[in-house]
Amino acid sequence: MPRLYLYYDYCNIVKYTINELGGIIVTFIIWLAVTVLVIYFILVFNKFVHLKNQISNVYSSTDAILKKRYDLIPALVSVVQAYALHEEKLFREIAEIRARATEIKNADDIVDLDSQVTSTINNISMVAESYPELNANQNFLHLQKTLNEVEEQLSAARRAYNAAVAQYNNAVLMFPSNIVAALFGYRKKKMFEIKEVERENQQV
Amino acid sequence: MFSAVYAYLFFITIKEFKRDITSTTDYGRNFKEEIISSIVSFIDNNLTYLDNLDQKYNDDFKQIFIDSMLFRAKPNEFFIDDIIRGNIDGVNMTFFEADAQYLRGRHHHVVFKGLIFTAEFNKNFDGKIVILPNIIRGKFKTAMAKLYSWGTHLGELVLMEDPKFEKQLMVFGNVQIGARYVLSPSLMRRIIDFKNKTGKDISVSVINSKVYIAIPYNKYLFEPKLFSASLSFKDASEYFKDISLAIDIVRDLKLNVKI
Repeated sequence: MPRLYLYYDYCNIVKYTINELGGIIVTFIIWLAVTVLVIYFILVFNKFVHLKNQISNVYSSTDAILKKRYDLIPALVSVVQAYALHEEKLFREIAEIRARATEIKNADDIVDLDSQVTSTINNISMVAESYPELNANQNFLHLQKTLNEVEEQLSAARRAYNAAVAQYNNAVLMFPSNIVAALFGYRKKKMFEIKEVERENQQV
Repeated sequence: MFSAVYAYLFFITIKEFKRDITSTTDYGRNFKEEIISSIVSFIDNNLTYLDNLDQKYNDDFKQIFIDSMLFRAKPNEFFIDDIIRGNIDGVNMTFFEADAQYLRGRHHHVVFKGLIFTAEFNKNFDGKIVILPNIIRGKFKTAMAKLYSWGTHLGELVLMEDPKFEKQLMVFGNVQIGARYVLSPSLMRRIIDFKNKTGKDISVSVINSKVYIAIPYNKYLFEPKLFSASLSFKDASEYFKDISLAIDIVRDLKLNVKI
């Protein structure tokens, strides 16, 4: 009889151990899953911080070049105005754009404004072509050369900004990082528009 | 009868070979001064040829080699041979043949063997970018590139938007905008075209408004052919082609178009 008791006790111990072990394993799996999830969230969050910082770094350089270009516009306008007296519409447009540029603080709005400034500068160059005296003016030629240099720098800055934004947008839109993006309010950003004409013009 | 003629010809050949070997330096010097110099001035009057048989220019050019940042290992044995200097379409350039090695124990390791080209870059650029043959591919390119550039002055990997360029070359630099300022889409296209034209794994760097290009060769260039009695058309055209490469670089990459 005592043997049977012993056997019964032994079974209970095994049963108890299995139950206990199952609980431990389940707890461990849950703990592991939570840890992995937390680590993943931290990594993705840090990735977003890194990408956002990368964008703001490139953006601040782009902004500096854009300002350099805005500063060149009044000088260019004053030279062109002396020769092209009948281009009032163009000068009004330029004045409006410059006024808008001083009010803007948001990166996405600057992206919008940039394409307008580019087309206005192209218009100035087109107008200049119809005034041969203006084309021979040394001051105008020097300004155009400086503007070309700034445009080259700006083109590089746009490409760098777009590359940084493309990386960021991929992370915002792709699964599963889009969950983290939605949780922390990261939204898709606008890219600079690089027109085909601009690509073709850039020969150096 | 035939065997006698054969033996005589063999004797003459060996005699000639012996004479060539014993006077290689003089022969080489004369050959370079007369033939290579003439080909160089024929190609462009603004180019001058310097031979370096005495290795007197080694230190100056070793510095150019190091300044280019194109090579990970610093050579402790450095030889340069033919130097071509001059001005092509307003661009001051230097073109030389280098053989750089480092000695570890009793083993010689080749750092680079081939041609190095250096010239003024056509844009003002204060920074550095290094373009190397692409050896890192796949999903973890950025992470692998970090490992690759660890402990070097290469800087970080710059991912360019031209897929053809990205497939063949990798760009390192310390400035993201600067790298794109130097590497405009058209220059990227021209570098790829030039690379395909030469069929060599070229490396390019632009450091503080100077461009350096390394073109590897596994033969010694501009050397006299010991077994040729005189300069054949084939040899001359080969020298011509190798020297013209310097002009091709300036014109193909449009270094002569100033910004």
